[in-house]
Amino acid sequence: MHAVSLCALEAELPGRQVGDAELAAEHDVPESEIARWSKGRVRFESDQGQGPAVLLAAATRRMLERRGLAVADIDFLVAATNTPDMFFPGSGCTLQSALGAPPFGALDVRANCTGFLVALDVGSRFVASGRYRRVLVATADVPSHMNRRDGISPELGFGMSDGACAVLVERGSAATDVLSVRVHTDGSRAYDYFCEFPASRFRQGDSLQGRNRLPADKVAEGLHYPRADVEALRELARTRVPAVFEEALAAANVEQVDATLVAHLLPDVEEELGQRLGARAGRIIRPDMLYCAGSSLAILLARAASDGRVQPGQTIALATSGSGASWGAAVLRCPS
Amino acid sequence: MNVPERSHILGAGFEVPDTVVTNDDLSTVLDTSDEWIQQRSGIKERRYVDDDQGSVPLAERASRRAIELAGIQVSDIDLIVCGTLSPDIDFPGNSSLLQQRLGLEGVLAFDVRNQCSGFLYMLAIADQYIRTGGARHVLVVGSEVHSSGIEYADRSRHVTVLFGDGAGAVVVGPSPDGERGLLTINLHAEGSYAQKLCLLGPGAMHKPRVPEGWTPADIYGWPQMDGKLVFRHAVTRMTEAVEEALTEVGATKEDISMLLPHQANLRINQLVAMGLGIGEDRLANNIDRYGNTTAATIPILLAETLEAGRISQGDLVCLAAFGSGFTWGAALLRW
Repeated sequence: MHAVSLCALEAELPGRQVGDAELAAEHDVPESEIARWSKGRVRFESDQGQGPAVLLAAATRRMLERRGLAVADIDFLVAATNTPDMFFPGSGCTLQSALGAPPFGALDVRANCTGFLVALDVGSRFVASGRYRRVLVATADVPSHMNRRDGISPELGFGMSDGACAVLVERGSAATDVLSVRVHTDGSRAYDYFCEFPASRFRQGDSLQGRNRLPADKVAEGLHYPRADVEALRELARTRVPAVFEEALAAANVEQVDATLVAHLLPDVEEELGQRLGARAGRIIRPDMLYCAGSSLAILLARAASDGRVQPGQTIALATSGSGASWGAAVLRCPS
Repeated sequence: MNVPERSHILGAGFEVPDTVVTNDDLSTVLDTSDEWIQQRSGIKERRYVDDDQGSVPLAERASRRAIELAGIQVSDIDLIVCGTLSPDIDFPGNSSLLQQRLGLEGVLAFDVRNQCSGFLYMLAIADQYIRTGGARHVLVVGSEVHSSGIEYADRSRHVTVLFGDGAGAVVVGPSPDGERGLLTINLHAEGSYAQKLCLLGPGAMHKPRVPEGWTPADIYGWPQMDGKLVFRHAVTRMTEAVEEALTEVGATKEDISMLLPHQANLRINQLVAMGLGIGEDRLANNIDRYGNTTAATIPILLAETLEAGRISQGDLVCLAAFGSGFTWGAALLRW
């Protein structure tokens, strides 16, 4: 197997920051209720027409330029998002179009809150097996275009941010940088954090004309908005993340890491996990922006690498949990 | 861990709903006819679910059959990859719901959204996991319920008549002897054609993704297709992909024992086969009975072709697909 080099990464955040007061005025919700979920963190929001592909194209171009590479140097693309630009095809194709890229394969994975970890794992394996030399792992989420903001499901409506991150993995000449990735799913908890509609299992009546996966009455009921059981998500993190962190360390044959990056919908859970992971986790690094679903860890890693919170050559861990239900951890050698 | 050098499809199963919807049935709600549909697509009938269960129950039955034929237990599965463009609910995807039905809680499960090429993309993923020691037995499932997501109106008849419901599954595992199995697979995409076969909404490029005042009369919520453009590209790209795969392994068109193309349109497949010099005896199709089940077409066709005894040990089997994205690819397996 080939070594996998984590050779570049670049985050892209929408240019518009939206504060709690602005949201409160716009949606007629008390600012205190919004602050309860934002905890003072920064919220970035995309504009009309600005889906994952626009953000990812900007991140990818900047990353390639800094690395001295062209789009044509990419062999394959793995995109991960929970908020695709269109219902289909996926954002891998729309990103490829935005980049003006040659016809390399564009894979779209949907792995919910562990989207980046799964995309990184898949992309790394395509390199490790020798199938491709250089793979773009692209993860973006735009929850502000999906969540409701009328005070129902406030943890989602007010506790999330938009963002994107491009990561380049390539065949390495020395030791591998992706030491381990471990992700698990528990479908019996699928409804801890879910969005029901559009729902292909829903027919609405027996006539052919009545069939519709997104009926107007379900939209009127608000069933096209995501919903979350925050206590269930909290319990999932407490019980599963420490175990998968240990599993990832063992798989990487690492006793301790220099730092662990933790991301979760609930900031207090990140804080609690920092304590639960113990000394082997090293320094705990948490986001200063709001949760960006499966893209959170990638954005946090890019920002921490950029501002020096993690240093080249350090061994670091990533850990998260959420929708799916899914939870996972990775151990990486930090890129320069 | 002993990492195999080659992966293989160890078992294939499928499940389609009982309810048959003929072209004549569709002509009662659309301005179309049996002759019009057959002439353009080769489709005579398709299957529709007749309850609110979605495609995951179909996927479960297809999966259990594939696992049985692979000669393993459900508990031997250590990765689930599901392809669909018609998930039962918006999120999480079908993989989570299927995992729960199979009682495989804890096993990594994720969705792939690569439309008609989804099965080939998933097969490639399974191959990578097996050959890098990430999994031993991967359940790869394509499942679709299109009948609740297509518009029964004349403006969409060129799309609506093509699609059916169904599920196909395979178990991918280590090659039994190191010789049989996946020899090569190529994957491509050309996103500049993304809106030539697409479903725009709900999509996050729009804010909000379900616009205020949206009604089902808005085409935003229904699939759209430039049929002639798709047809032309499908013939060209599938042929190219098969030729690329043959070159990769040093084989010729004559070496192909059986071609199993994605089932989007019989006329496309006939032109691809003709271009490759492959006759009816080396070409498998079932679109006349099931229509286009996107990610499920190839595993359904493979399962049926195996059941019919049309594939023997040592055969060179070619899979090829093209679809929305545009995405396309081809694979060669030594059976």
